[in-house]
Amino acid sequence: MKLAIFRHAEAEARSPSGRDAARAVGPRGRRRFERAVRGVRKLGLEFDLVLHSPWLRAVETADLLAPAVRGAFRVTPHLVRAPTAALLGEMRGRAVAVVGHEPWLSALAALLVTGSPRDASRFPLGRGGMLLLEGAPAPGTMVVAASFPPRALRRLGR
Amino acid sequence: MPVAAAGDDPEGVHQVRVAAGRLAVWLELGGREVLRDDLRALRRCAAEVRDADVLLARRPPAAFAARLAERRERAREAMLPHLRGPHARALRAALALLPAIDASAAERALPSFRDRVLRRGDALAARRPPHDEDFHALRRAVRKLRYALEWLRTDAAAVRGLQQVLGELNDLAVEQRVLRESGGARAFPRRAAMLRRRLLAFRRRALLAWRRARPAIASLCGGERP
Repeated sequence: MKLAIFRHAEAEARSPSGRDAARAVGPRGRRRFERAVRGVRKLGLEFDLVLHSPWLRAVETADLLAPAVRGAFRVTPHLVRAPTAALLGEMRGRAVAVVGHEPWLSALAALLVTGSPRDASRFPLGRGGMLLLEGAPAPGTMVVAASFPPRALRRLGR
Repeated sequence: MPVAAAGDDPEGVHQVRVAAGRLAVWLELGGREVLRDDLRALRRCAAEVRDADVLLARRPPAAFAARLAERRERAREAMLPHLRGPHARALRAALALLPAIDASAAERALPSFRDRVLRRGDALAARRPPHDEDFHALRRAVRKLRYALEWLRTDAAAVRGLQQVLGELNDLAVEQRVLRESGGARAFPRRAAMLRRRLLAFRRRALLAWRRARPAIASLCGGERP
Protein backbone atom coordinates (compact mmCIF):
# COMPACT_ATOMS: atom_id res chain seq x y z
CA MET A 1 0.00 0.00 0.00
CA LYS A 2 1.03 3.60 -0.63
CA LEU A 3 0.03 5.78 2.29
CA ALA A 4 0.20 9.55 1.86
CA ILE A 5 0.03 11.43 5.15
CA PHE A 6 -1.04 15.05 4.66
CA ARG A 7 -1.11 17.72 7.30
CA HIS A 8 -4.01 20.12 6.70
CA ALA A 9 -3.41 23.25 4.63
CA GLU A 10 -2.68 26.59 6.34
CA ALA A 11 -5.73 27.60 8.36
CA GLU A 12 -6.96 30.90 9.68
CA ALA A 13 -5.64 31.86 13.11
CA ARG A 14 -9.05 31.61 14.75
CA SER A 15 -12.62 30.73 13.85
CA PRO A 16 -15.62 33.06 14.30
CA SER A 17 -16.86 30.81 17.12
CA GLY A 18 -13.44 30.63 18.75
CA ARG A 19 -13.45 26.83 18.49
CA ASP A 20 -10.21 25.32 17.25
CA ALA A 21 -12.10 22.58 15.36
CA ALA A 22 -13.93 25.29 13.37
CA ARG A 23 -10.82 26.99 11.97
CA ALA A 24 -11.12 27.08 8.16
CA VAL A 25 -8.40 26.88 5.53
CA GLY A 26 -7.50 30.46 4.67
CA PRO A 27 -7.31 31.89 1.12
CA ARG A 28 -3.51 31.60 1.07
CA GLY A 29 -3.64 28.03 2.38
CA ARG A 30 -6.20 27.15 -0.29
CA ARG A 31 -4.13 28.63 -3.13
CA ARG A 32 -0.99 26.93 -1.93
CA PHE A 33 -2.59 23.54 -1.37
CA GLU A 34 -4.25 23.62 -4.80
CA ARG A 35 -0.75 23.97 -6.23
CA ALA A 36 0.47 21.15 -3.98
CA VAL A 37 -2.32 18.89 -5.29
CA ARG A 38 -1.09 19.52 -8.83
CA GLY A 39 2.28 18.32 -7.55
CA VAL A 40 0.66 15.19 -6.10
CA ARG A 41 -0.89 14.45 -9.48
CA LYS A 42 2.44 14.94 -11.22
CA LEU A 43 3.80 12.22 -8.96
CA GLY A 44 1.16 9.92 -10.46
CA LEU A 45 -0.63 9.44 -7.13
CA GLU A 46 -4.35 8.66 -7.25
CA PHE A 47 -6.08 7.70 -4.05
CA ASP A 48 -8.65 4.90 -3.58
CA LEU A 49 -9.53 6.23 -0.16
CA VAL A 50 -9.10 9.50 1.72
CA LEU A 51 -9.47 9.37 5.49
CA HIS A 52 -9.82 12.78 7.09
CA SER A 53 -10.56 14.24 10.49
CA PRO A 54 -13.90 15.95 11.24
CA TRP A 55 -12.24 19.29 11.99
CA LEU A 56 -13.02 21.91 9.38
CA ARG A 57 -9.48 22.60 8.15
CA ALA A 58 -8.94 18.88 7.50
CA VAL A 59 -12.35 18.50 5.82
CA GLU A 60 -11.54 21.43 3.53
CA THR A 61 -8.03 20.15 2.81
CA ALA A 62 -9.43 16.70 1.91
CA ASP A 63 -11.90 18.42 -0.42
CA LEU A 64 -9.05 20.26 -2.15
CA LEU A 65 -7.36 16.90 -2.67
CA ALA A 66 -10.33 15.71 -4.80
CA PRO A 67 -8.53 16.02 -8.19
CA ALA A 68 -6.16 13.27 -7.00
CA VAL A 69 -8.93 10.97 -5.75
CA ARG A 70 -10.72 8.27 -7.71
CA GLY A 71 -12.29 6.53 -4.73
CA ALA A 72 -14.10 7.35 -1.51
CA PHE A 73 -13.76 9.95 1.23
CA ARG A 74 -14.36 8.92 4.81
CA VAL A 75 -14.46 11.06 7.91
CA THR A 76 -12.93 9.36 10.92
CA PRO A 77 -12.78 10.29 14.58
CA HIS A 78 -9.46 8.43 14.88
CA LEU A 79 -7.48 11.30 13.35
CA VAL A 80 -8.06 13.70 16.22
CA ARG A 81 -6.28 11.61 18.79
CA ALA A 82 -3.12 9.54 19.10
CA PRO A 83 -3.02 6.77 16.46
CA THR A 84 -4.69 3.49 17.36
CA ALA A 85 -5.27 0.08 15.80
CA ALA A 86 -8.77 1.28 14.85
CA LEU A 87 -7.24 3.93 12.56
CA LEU A 88 -4.84 1.44 10.97
CA GLY A 89 -7.82 -0.88 10.42
CA GLU A 90 -9.52 1.75 8.29
CA MET A 91 -6.60 1.94 5.85
CA ARG A 92 -7.70 -0.30 3.02
CA GLY A 93 -6.73 0.12 -0.60
CA ARG A 94 -3.70 0.40 -2.84
CA ALA A 95 -3.24 4.14 -2.36
CA VAL A 96 -4.69 5.76 0.75
CA ALA A 97 -4.41 9.37 1.91
CA VAL A 98 -4.92 10.58 5.45
CA VAL A 99 -5.51 14.25 6.22
CA GLY A 100 -5.18 15.32 9.81
CA HIS A 101 -3.32 17.23 12.47
CA GLU A 102 -0.13 17.37 14.44
CA PRO A 103 1.16 15.92 16.68
CA TRP A 104 -0.90 12.85 15.84
CA LEU A 105 0.24 12.54 12.20
CA SER A 106 3.91 12.44 13.13
CA ALA A 107 3.04 9.88 15.80
CA LEU A 108 1.18 7.85 13.16
CA ALA A 109 4.18 7.90 10.82
CA ALA A 110 6.48 6.91 13.68
CA LEU A 111 4.17 4.06 14.71
CA LEU A 112 4.01 2.70 11.17
CA VAL A 113 7.74 3.02 10.43
CA THR A 114 9.50 2.38 13.74
CA GLY A 115 6.71 0.70 15.68
CA SER A 116 6.68 3.42 18.34
CA PRO A 117 4.72 6.70 18.32
CA ARG A 118 7.37 8.10 20.69
CA ASP A 119 9.64 8.60 17.64
CA ALA A 120 7.24 11.26 16.30
CA SER A 121 9.86 14.03 16.30
CA ARG A 122 11.72 12.14 13.53
CA PHE A 123 8.74 12.64 11.17
CA PRO A 124 7.90 16.36 11.15
CA LEU A 125 5.14 17.55 8.83
CA GLY A 126 4.63 21.15 7.71
CA ARG A 127 1.12 22.46 6.96
CA GLY A 128 0.18 21.19 3.50
CA GLY A 129 3.14 18.80 3.44
CA MET A 130 3.08 15.11 2.58
CA LEU A 131 4.88 12.06 3.85
CA LEU A 132 4.67 9.03 1.56
CA LEU A 133 5.00 5.59 3.14
CA GLU A 134 4.90 2.15 1.57
CA GLY A 135 4.08 -1.27 2.97
CA ALA A 136 1.32 -2.85 5.03
CA PRO A 137 -0.39 -0.49 7.51
CA ALA A 138 0.81 -2.17 10.70
CA PRO A 139 3.22 -0.97 13.42
CA GLY A 140 6.85 -1.02 12.33
CA THR A 141 6.20 -2.41 8.84
CA MET A 142 6.14 0.63 6.54
CA VAL A 143 9.06 2.44 4.94
CA VAL A 144 9.37 6.10 4.05
CA ALA A 145 9.22 6.37 0.26
CA ALA A 146 9.42 10.16 0.16
CA SER A 147 8.97 13.24 2.29
CA PHE A 148 7.64 16.42 0.66
CA PRO A 149 7.79 19.63 2.67
CA PRO A 150 4.96 21.97 1.59
CA ARG A 151 7.22 24.12 -0.57
CA ALA A 152 8.64 21.11 -2.46
CA LEU A 153 5.16 19.82 -3.25
CA ARG A 154 4.06 23.27 -4.47
CA ARG A 155 7.15 23.65 -6.61
CA LEU A 156 6.35 20.32 -8.22
CA GLY A 157 2.86 21.61 -9.01
CA ARG A 158 3.98 24.73 -10.88
CA MET B 1 -30.65 10.02 14.82
CA PRO B 2 -31.56 9.52 18.49
CA VAL B 3 -35.20 8.86 17.45
CA ALA B 4 -34.05 6.35 14.83
CA ALA B 5 -31.79 4.63 17.37
CA ALA B 6 -34.53 4.50 20.02
CA GLY B 7 -36.72 2.61 17.55
CA ASP B 8 -40.11 3.69 18.93
CA ASP B 9 -41.12 5.71 15.89
CA PRO B 10 -40.51 4.56 12.27
CA GLU B 11 -40.38 8.23 11.31
CA GLY B 12 -36.93 8.47 12.95
CA VAL B 13 -35.32 6.09 10.46
CA HIS B 14 -37.13 7.77 7.59
CA GLN B 15 -35.94 11.21 8.68
CA VAL B 16 -32.32 10.01 8.99
CA ARG B 17 -32.48 8.84 5.38
CA VAL B 18 -34.17 12.01 4.14
CA ALA B 19 -31.74 14.27 6.03
CA ALA B 20 -28.72 12.33 4.73
CA GLY B 21 -30.06 12.60 1.17
CA ARG B 22 -30.76 16.31 1.49
CA LEU B 23 -27.34 17.03 2.99
CA ALA B 24 -25.58 15.06 0.25
CA VAL B 25 -27.38 17.19 -2.35
CA TRP B 26 -26.45 20.34 -0.41
CA LEU B 27 -22.79 19.30 -0.54
CA GLU B 28 -23.04 18.53 -4.25
CA LEU B 29 -24.62 21.94 -4.89
CA GLY B 30 -21.69 23.49 -3.04
CA GLY B 31 -19.20 21.54 -5.19
CA ARG B 32 -17.91 19.57 -2.22
CA GLU B 33 -16.76 15.97 -2.61
CA VAL B 34 -16.18 15.24 1.08
CA LEU B 35 -18.75 13.69 3.45
CA ARG B 36 -21.03 12.55 0.62
CA ASP B 37 -19.75 8.95 0.85
CA ASP B 38 -20.31 9.03 4.61
CA LEU B 39 -23.87 10.28 4.11
CA ARG B 40 -24.47 7.58 1.49
CA ALA B 41 -23.27 4.95 3.98
CA LEU B 42 -25.61 6.40 6.61
CA ARG B 43 -28.58 6.22 4.23
CA ARG B 44 -27.65 2.67 3.29
CA CYS B 45 -27.33 1.44 6.88
CA ALA B 46 -30.93 2.48 7.51
CA ALA B 47 -32.32 1.20 4.16
CA GLU B 48 -33.35 -2.31 5.25
CA VAL B 49 -35.17 -1.03 8.33
CA ARG B 50 -36.96 1.61 6.29
CA ASP B 51 -37.99 -0.95 3.65
CA ALA B 52 -39.45 -3.19 6.35
CA ASP B 53 -41.28 -0.22 7.93
CA VAL B 54 -42.84 0.72 4.58
CA LEU B 55 -43.97 -2.85 3.91
CA LEU B 56 -45.36 -3.31 7.42
CA ALA B 57 -47.36 -0.10 7.01
CA ARG B 58 -49.07 -1.67 3.96
CA ARG B 59 -50.75 -4.19 6.30
CA PRO B 60 -49.50 -7.45 4.76
CA PRO B 61 -51.03 -10.85 5.73
CA ALA B 62 -50.20 -11.73 9.34
CA ALA B 63 -47.76 -14.53 8.50
CA PHE B 64 -45.80 -12.33 6.08
CA ALA B 65 -45.92 -9.45 8.58
CA ALA B 66 -44.29 -11.72 11.19
CA ARG B 67 -41.44 -12.51 8.80
CA LEU B 68 -41.08 -8.82 8.02
CA ALA B 69 -40.93 -7.94 11.71
CA GLU B 70 -38.13 -10.48 12.23
CA ARG B 71 -36.29 -9.10 9.23
CA ARG B 72 -36.72 -5.56 10.55
CA GLU B 73 -35.31 -6.53 13.94
CA ARG B 74 -32.20 -8.06 12.36
CA ALA B 75 -31.73 -4.98 10.17
CA ARG B 76 -32.17 -2.72 13.20
CA GLU B 77 -29.51 -4.60 15.13
CA ALA B 78 -27.14 -4.15 12.18
CA MET B 79 -28.03 -0.44 11.90
CA LEU B 80 -27.57 0.56 15.54
CA PRO B 81 -23.76 0.38 15.75
CA HIS B 82 -23.61 2.70 12.73
CA LEU B 83 -26.04 5.23 14.19
CA ARG B 84 -24.48 5.23 17.65
CA GLY B 85 -20.86 4.71 16.61
CA PRO B 86 -17.96 7.17 16.64
CA HIS B 87 -18.05 7.62 12.85
CA ALA B 88 -21.63 8.89 12.96
CA ARG B 89 -20.60 11.35 15.68
CA ALA B 90 -17.60 12.47 13.59
CA LEU B 91 -19.88 12.94 10.57
CA ARG B 92 -22.29 15.07 12.58
CA ALA B 93 -19.42 17.13 14.00
CA ALA B 94 -17.94 17.71 10.53
CA LEU B 95 -21.31 18.70 9.05
CA ALA B 96 -21.96 21.11 11.90
CA LEU B 97 -18.66 22.91 11.21
CA LEU B 98 -19.18 23.41 7.48
CA PRO B 99 -19.88 26.98 6.40
CA ALA B 100 -22.85 27.87 4.18
CA ILE B 101 -22.49 27.14 0.49
CA ASP B 102 -22.14 29.88 -2.10
CA ALA B 103 -25.70 30.48 -3.41
CA SER B 104 -24.60 31.62 -6.88
CA ALA B 105 -22.34 28.55 -7.28
CA ALA B 106 -25.30 26.39 -6.23
CA GLU B 107 -27.50 28.06 -8.87
CA ARG B 108 -24.87 27.26 -11.47
CA ALA B 109 -24.77 23.61 -10.35
CA LEU B 110 -28.55 23.17 -10.60
CA PRO B 111 -28.71 22.42 -14.36
CA SER B 112 -26.49 19.36 -13.86
CA PHE B 113 -29.19 17.89 -11.56
CA ARG B 114 -31.84 18.55 -14.24
CA ASP B 115 -29.64 17.10 -16.98
CA ARG B 116 -29.07 13.93 -14.95
CA VAL B 117 -32.84 13.43 -14.69
CA LEU B 118 -33.26 13.98 -18.44
CA ARG B 119 -30.49 11.49 -19.24
CA ARG B 120 -31.93 8.83 -16.92
CA GLY B 121 -35.50 9.40 -18.11
CA ASP B 122 -34.60 9.33 -21.79
CA ALA B 123 -32.56 6.14 -21.28
CA LEU B 124 -35.58 4.59 -19.55
CA ALA B 125 -38.00 5.60 -22.30
CA ALA B 126 -35.66 4.26 -25.00
CA ARG B 127 -35.33 0.80 -23.40
CA ARG B 128 -37.75 -1.92 -24.56
CA PRO B 129 -38.86 -3.11 -22.07
CA PRO B 130 -37.45 -0.78 -19.38
CA HIS B 131 -35.48 -2.47 -16.59
CA ASP B 132 -36.19 -1.98 -12.89
CA GLU B 133 -32.67 -0.49 -12.60
CA ASP B 134 -33.68 2.22 -15.09
CA PHE B 135 -36.67 3.21 -12.95
CA HIS B 136 -34.48 3.10 -9.86
CA ALA B 137 -31.85 5.36 -11.45
CA LEU B 138 -34.52 7.83 -12.57
CA ARG B 139 -36.11 7.85 -9.11
CA ARG B 140 -32.78 8.70 -7.47
CA ALA B 141 -32.04 11.44 -9.99
CA VAL B 142 -35.54 12.91 -9.52
CA ARG B 143 -35.16 12.84 -5.74
CA LYS B 144 -31.86 14.71 -5.96
CA LEU B 145 -33.29 17.27 -8.35
CA ARG B 146 -36.21 17.88 -6.00
CA TYR B 147 -33.91 18.36 -3.01
CA ALA B 148 -31.69 20.70 -5.04
CA LEU B 149 -34.71 22.77 -6.12
CA GLU B 150 -35.96 22.94 -2.56
CA TRP B 151 -32.56 24.02 -1.21
CA LEU B 152 -32.65 26.89 -3.69
CA ARG B 153 -36.30 27.66 -2.87
CA THR B 154 -37.30 26.95 -6.47
CA ASP B 155 -40.71 25.47 -7.28
CA ALA B 156 -40.35 21.66 -7.32
CA ALA B 157 -43.92 20.92 -8.45
CA ALA B 158 -42.66 19.63 -11.82
CA VAL B 159 -40.89 16.72 -10.15
CA ARG B 160 -43.02 16.01 -7.08
CA GLY B 161 -45.75 14.03 -8.90
CA LEU B 162 -43.20 11.99 -10.82
CA GLN B 163 -41.28 11.27 -7.63
CA GLN B 164 -44.49 10.04 -6.00
CA VAL B 165 -45.25 7.53 -8.78
CA LEU B 166 -41.64 6.33 -8.91
CA GLY B 167 -41.67 5.96 -5.12
CA GLU B 168 -44.78 3.78 -5.21
CA LEU B 169 -43.24 1.66 -7.96
CA ASN B 170 -40.11 1.26 -5.86
CA ASP B 171 -42.15 0.18 -2.83
CA LEU B 172 -43.75 -2.56 -4.94
CA ALA B 173 -40.36 -3.66 -6.31
CA VAL B 174 -38.97 -3.79 -2.77
CA GLU B 175 -41.94 -5.85 -1.58
CA GLN B 176 -41.42 -8.30 -4.44
CA ARG B 177 -37.72 -8.62 -3.59
CA VAL B 178 -38.37 -9.09 0.11
CA LEU B 179 -41.10 -11.63 -0.57
CA ARG B 180 -38.70 -13.57 -2.79
CA GLU B 181 -35.80 -13.37 -0.31
CA SER B 182 -37.90 -14.52 2.63
CA GLY B 183 -39.30 -17.47 0.73
CA GLY B 184 -42.71 -15.81 0.66
CA ALA B 185 -43.33 -16.24 -3.08
CA ARG B 186 -44.18 -19.92 -2.47
CA ALA B 187 -45.86 -19.33 0.89
CA PHE B 188 -47.99 -16.44 -0.40
CA PRO B 189 -48.64 -17.19 -4.08
CA ARG B 190 -51.70 -14.91 -4.31
CA ARG B 191 -49.78 -11.93 -2.96
CA ALA B 192 -46.86 -12.68 -5.30
CA ALA B 193 -49.23 -12.79 -8.30
CA MET B 194 -50.96 -9.58 -7.19
CA LEU B 195 -47.57 -7.89 -6.87
CA ARG B 196 -46.54 -8.97 -10.38
CA ARG B 197 -49.74 -7.48 -11.82
CA ARG B 198 -49.40 -4.24 -9.87
CA LEU B 199 -45.75 -3.89 -10.84
CA LEU B 200 -46.59 -4.19 -14.53
CA ALA B 201 -49.34 -1.57 -14.16
CA PHE B 202 -47.11 0.78 -12.17
CA ARG B 203 -44.26 0.51 -14.65
CA ARG B 204 -46.67 1.71 -17.34
CA ARG B 205 -47.90 4.50 -15.03
CA ALA B 206 -44.35 5.58 -14.20
CA LEU B 207 -43.38 5.69 -17.88
CA LEU B 208 -46.44 7.79 -18.64
CA ALA B 209 -45.67 10.08 -15.70
CA TRP B 210 -42.14 10.55 -17.04
CA ARG B 211 -43.42 11.46 -20.53
CA ARG B 212 -45.84 13.97 -19.00
CA ALA B 213 -43.27 15.51 -16.65
CA ARG B 214 -40.39 15.70 -19.13
CA PRO B 215 -41.28 19.03 -20.82
CA ALA B 216 -41.67 20.81 -17.47
CA ILE B 217 -38.40 19.34 -16.16
CA ALA B 218 -36.57 20.22 -19.39
CA SER B 219 -37.72 23.83 -19.03
CA LEU B 220 -36.30 24.17 -15.47
CA CYS B 221 -33.42 26.61 -14.91
CA GLY B 222 -33.67 28.28 -18.27
CA GLY B 223 -34.33 25.21 -20.39
CA GLU B 224 -32.43 22.20 -21.67
CA ARG B 225 -28.92 22.62 -23.05
CA PRO B 226 -28.90 22.40 -26.86
